[in-house]
Amino acid sequence: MDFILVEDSEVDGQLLKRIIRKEDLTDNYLWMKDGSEVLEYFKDEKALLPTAILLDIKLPKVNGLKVLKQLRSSQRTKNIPVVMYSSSYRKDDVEAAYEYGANSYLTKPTGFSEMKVQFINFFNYWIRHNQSTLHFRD
Amino acid sequence: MDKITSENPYNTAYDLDNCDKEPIHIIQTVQRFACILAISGDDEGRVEQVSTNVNDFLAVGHEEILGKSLFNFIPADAANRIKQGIKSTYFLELNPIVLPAENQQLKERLLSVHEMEGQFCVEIEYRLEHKNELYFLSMMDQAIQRIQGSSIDNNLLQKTAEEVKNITRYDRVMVYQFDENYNGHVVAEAKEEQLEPFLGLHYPATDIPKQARDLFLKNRVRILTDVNDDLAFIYPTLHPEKKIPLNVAKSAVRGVSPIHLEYLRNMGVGATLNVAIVENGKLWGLIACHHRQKKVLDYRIRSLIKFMGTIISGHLSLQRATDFRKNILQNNIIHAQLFEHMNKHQDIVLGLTEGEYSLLDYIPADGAVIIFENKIVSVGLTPTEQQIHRLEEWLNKDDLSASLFSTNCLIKENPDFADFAKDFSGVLSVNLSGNASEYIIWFRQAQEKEVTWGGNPKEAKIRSAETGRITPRKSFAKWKEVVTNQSLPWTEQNKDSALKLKNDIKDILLKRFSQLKKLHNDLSRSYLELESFSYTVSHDLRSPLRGIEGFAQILIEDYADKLDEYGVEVINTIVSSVDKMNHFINDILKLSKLAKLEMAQEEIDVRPMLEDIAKNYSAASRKIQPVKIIIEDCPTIKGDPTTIKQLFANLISNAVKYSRPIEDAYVIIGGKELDRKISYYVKDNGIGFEMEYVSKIYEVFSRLVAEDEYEGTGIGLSIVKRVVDRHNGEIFVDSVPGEGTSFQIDFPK
Repeated sequence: MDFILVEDSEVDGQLLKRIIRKEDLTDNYLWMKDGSEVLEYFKDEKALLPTAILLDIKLPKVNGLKVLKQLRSSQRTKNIPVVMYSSSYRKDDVEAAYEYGANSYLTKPTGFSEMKVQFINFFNYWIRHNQSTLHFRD
Repeated sequence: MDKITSENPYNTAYDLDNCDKEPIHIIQTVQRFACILAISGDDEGRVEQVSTNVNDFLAVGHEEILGKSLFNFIPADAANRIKQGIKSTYFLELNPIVLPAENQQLKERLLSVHEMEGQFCVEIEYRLEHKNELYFLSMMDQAIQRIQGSSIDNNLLQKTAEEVKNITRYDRVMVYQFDENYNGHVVAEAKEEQLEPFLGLHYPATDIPKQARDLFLKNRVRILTDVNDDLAFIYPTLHPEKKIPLNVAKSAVRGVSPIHLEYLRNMGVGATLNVAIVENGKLWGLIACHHRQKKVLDYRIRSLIKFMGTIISGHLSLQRATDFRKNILQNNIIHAQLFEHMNKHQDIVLGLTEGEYSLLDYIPADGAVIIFENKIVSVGLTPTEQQIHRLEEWLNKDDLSASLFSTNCLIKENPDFADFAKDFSGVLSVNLSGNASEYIIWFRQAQEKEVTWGGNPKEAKIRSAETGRITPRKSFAKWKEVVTNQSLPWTEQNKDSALKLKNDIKDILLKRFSQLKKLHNDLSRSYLELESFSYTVSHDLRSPLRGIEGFAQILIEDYADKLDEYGVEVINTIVSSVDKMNHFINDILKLSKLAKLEMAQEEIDVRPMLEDIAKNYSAASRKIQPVKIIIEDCPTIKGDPTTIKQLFANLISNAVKYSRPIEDAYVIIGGKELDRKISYYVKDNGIGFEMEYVSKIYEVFSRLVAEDEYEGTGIGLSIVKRVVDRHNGEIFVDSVPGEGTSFQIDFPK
């Protein structure tokens, strides 16, 4: 599986879906709307591991930082690249994310066209590039 | 030991150079008109000391009577009464005892007894006045009625002088008042016409030295019958067993200091009578009677005059107490008003200068300054600011800042202030806060006054060329002195008032400090609130905006060819609205960051601004519920264009939001120019709110309605309030549920 998108905003999710479809990037991804769904998904040991996770911070029930902490504490998921995806540019949030083991931090842009460019860059690097480099996880 | 003479009447080595030390209480002379016998305090009444003139009053010589019982020489009933008195040591009811005339030549004699340091002194003099008790009583009664009929201070004293002259027939009767340094001042006078008036004259304290004043407290009547008297002496000069001279402090008939006699002779006085006026245990003054010839006054009349002195003393004490209470009461009223005024305004300076009463009512002065928080505020007449600064620095430096400083002659305290101390001689200052440099200072102007002395006070005592000892002055010619650089002195009450005010100010400052601390805490909290608010703005507002813009873009990308011209216009309006919204968000963020910075001060043309805001709504509301936006007069205002626009946008959006459900909804915006302000209004006919929630509407994130009913984040009005505050303006709101809401925003001109 290419990636899991964790995003509670219907609007942002739909926009990303549109970009993925329009740019013909992939069909092989999951869109989850809360951190609890992510944790639920990885409870199943046979669950497919994504190449990367794009993770919003502000989520309704279980927030992104908690999810990140959980992923990093499990042998199976600790090496999955996690890219934080948030409107917050607060220093506190950014620092906490890296401290918990985020691989990168993307601030959601204001406009749709910037969003498009930013997402394509994310996909090309964290999904396609990683998949072409050899086994980086056990 | 020197022989006792009238020139040296003391039995001690006494240097006549120093008249302040003259031991007049043990003067060993007795005036001729009476004799003194000191007797033992037992049934025997043995004569231990006696004046050499005893033979003029009893049929026995002074050497003969010594060691014998006095009772052998007076009638038995008189002797018994003295014995009684000695047992009880109470003579007031006893005195005087009448000794009948012993033969045709002699007259009735009056005998009186007093006790002094364990010794009993018997004085005998001739009775001069034979009228009965009732006569004296009614004379006294009439005099006192006339005196008490006059209520005003000075008139009372004048009446007293007149009555005393009337009763005693002395040539001149004066009421003599002491100042704080015991310089005397003639405040009332009754005299024979041909005599030169002494009224208003001043006499230096040395004219009546301290020990003489002290004696007036012990014995309030003092008579001198003849300045040229051939004085008798006390024999022997020392008590046979105790070996000390007889203490005659309480004797009315004792001899007189040679210096004082000389003084009186120089003055042309032949006989005197002095009665003490005592107030609060202190010598207030004297009723001083002068006669050109020698004059003996009957014992009973002396008693009457003494009684009169007591009445005057009581009268003065009462008047002083009444004045004091009246002063205190008035002062308390002013004090309470000042305090209330300061408290109400929470402003020390305003409270002390702008109210019904000022500092000058509180403590009578010509001017006052408050030096507080680096400002100088003055009332009345004061030195210049620069001079006040110098005074302030001096107060700081000289450690006078500690509490209270007062002077009525500033130039004496510091000659450097000569430039203004001549005019402002009186200074009373209190330090307000314990910090140096915060003072209230009262000023009193110098009073140039002329003091007329009875002779030059600096020459009151001169050294005689012939005898080498001190003699009193010979000249009593009026001598004028001009007193300069002195103001009215500050009374103890003035100083107490100043300290009381200082304590009140301390209390108010303390209260204000805790209020400021609370304000500071509130402010800190709202800054935190503001920060979390800007975070919310960036996170939550940008996301839906991205959606709008994104989907509008998608519409253009995918469906542009399928839309007609109007459709494309709609989409472009959406995109440009989003663009504006983004600007708006940035503005808000800017505001939160710039909360502490200065606002721009530009002339703002409000109309285009309002039209621009209204345009958004006409485009947006075209297909929903229409809200009519009416823009009336728009005077220009001074301020920061970005935030002012935001203010109106928020108020209008707020009005539109809560009017939309109403049919024929409208929002009216306009302004008018008033005297000191530009007043704008934003009115709607929307749902309104209960005025009891008025304090909540400006709070960040507070909403008076359910979130799903009315969109919005609840920050609009808090931004409005903040913008108004930053422009030093005021905002008022009036609302009636179901009828509408009206905001009024006042901008300073």
